[in-house]
Amino acid sequence: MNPRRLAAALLLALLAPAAAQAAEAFVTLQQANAVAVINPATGALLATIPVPGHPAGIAMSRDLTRAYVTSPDLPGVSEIDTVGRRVLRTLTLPGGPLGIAAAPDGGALYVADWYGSDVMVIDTRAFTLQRRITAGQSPSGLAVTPDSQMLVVAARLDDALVLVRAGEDKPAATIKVGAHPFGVTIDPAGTRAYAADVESDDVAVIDLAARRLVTRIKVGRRPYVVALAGNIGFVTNELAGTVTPFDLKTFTPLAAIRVGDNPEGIQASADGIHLYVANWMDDSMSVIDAGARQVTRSFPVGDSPRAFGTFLRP
Amino acid sequence: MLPIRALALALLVATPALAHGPTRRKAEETVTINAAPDKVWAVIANFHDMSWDPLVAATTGDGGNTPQSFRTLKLKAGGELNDDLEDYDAKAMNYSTFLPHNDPKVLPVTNLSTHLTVETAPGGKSVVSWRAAFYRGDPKGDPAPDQNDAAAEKAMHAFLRAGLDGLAAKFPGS
Repeated sequence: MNPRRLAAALLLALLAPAAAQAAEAFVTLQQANAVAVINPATGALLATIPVPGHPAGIAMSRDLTRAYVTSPDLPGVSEIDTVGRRVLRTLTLPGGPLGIAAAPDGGALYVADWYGSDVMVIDTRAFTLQRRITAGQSPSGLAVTPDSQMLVVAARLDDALVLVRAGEDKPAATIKVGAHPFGVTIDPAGTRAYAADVESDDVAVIDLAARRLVTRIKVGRRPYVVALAGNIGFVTNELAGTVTPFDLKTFTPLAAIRVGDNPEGIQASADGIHLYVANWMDDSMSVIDAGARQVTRSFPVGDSPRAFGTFLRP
Repeated sequence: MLPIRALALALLVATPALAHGPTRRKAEETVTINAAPDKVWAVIANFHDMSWDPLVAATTGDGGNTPQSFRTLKLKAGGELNDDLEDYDAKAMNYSTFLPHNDPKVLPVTNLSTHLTVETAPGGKSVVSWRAAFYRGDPKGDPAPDQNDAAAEKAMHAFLRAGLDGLAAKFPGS
């Protein structure tokens, strides 16, 4: 091996352990009007990006160079350069933009108007409002299948998940779930969606191909959003201050994990080893070891973290 | 062109009249009490005894101190609040409550959850913190001045403060 190659190999070997863990968490700080960039392995604050209008929702672009952040009080959405750590463009939108999801193919950005019944479709290149989808009452969490072909909307006040095909303006299907679904998460295979039913304290499991409710899993008080790590789902329970793991095969809830108060956003690292939870009341983030199903670390992140959506990079 | 656009954007984002969205707020009040934590906890430990809070005239409920227990707080100023117990930990000396529905004229908030905690302070003293998470009284767009975010925060801080001051008054020297 020539010296240059050897150096490159050594560098890669050095970088590998770090790459195994999420390198950066972009945490929306609602009352601080900012997004904090945190090293989730250490809790170190890497940057603070001012974002007005009480930022709440966040979606990462597939190439991870952009983060899109909703601000219900702006109201609008901000495009963040994740490398340059700055807002590139801001688009004002009607209503109360909260839930947000980026199509993996990079084309469409979907933003839900929590006050109304529309999901707004943003062209990511022009960064303009392209069209609206009438999705259901108080659309909240959004998720897009890995093939970018289907948008899943939690129609909170309809107690339903609404499926919308890419490019269409009307729902293809409406599936009843529990009471007031909020966060929606789709598995990597694109076969199932998981919705946190806030008012009925359960997680609804949806078969996306069959377009039917598979089951509802009883979890803690006021579940907020689900993250997936391997064969286990993890849902934040806002009022219980816990995360309830559940088996994705048997749909059995496992012992709840105590985190901070009012846990909201949760996401698993790319390797599925850790989960990161934003504790809104405590202004902190908890790190859960997915295998041990225990909190291994927690650290302060700033005023009122929401991190509702995909907030990890990579 | 660019500076003008930047200025226009800055003006746009700085305009508070654009406030529309529903964002949850929090309020926290704390008090240092001249007594050991277990003595303070003994006064507040019963979910159905709010006699330590000067704003509360009477408490009725199912008598339980376990999650899902419920109570009605009759307020001296009029009206009542019906909340339930979410979490109760006598060992850690804290409990959490949730008020799913209330008359916004009685308290201009909605979906109120609270956490009441006793902690140890130096010199044999205690620190009691009472934290609340809530939305404003009118969660829809363009609320009236007495039901907006500012009104909700003001009312909530005052509510928590009065309660903690009342609790401290039960311990001489606090």
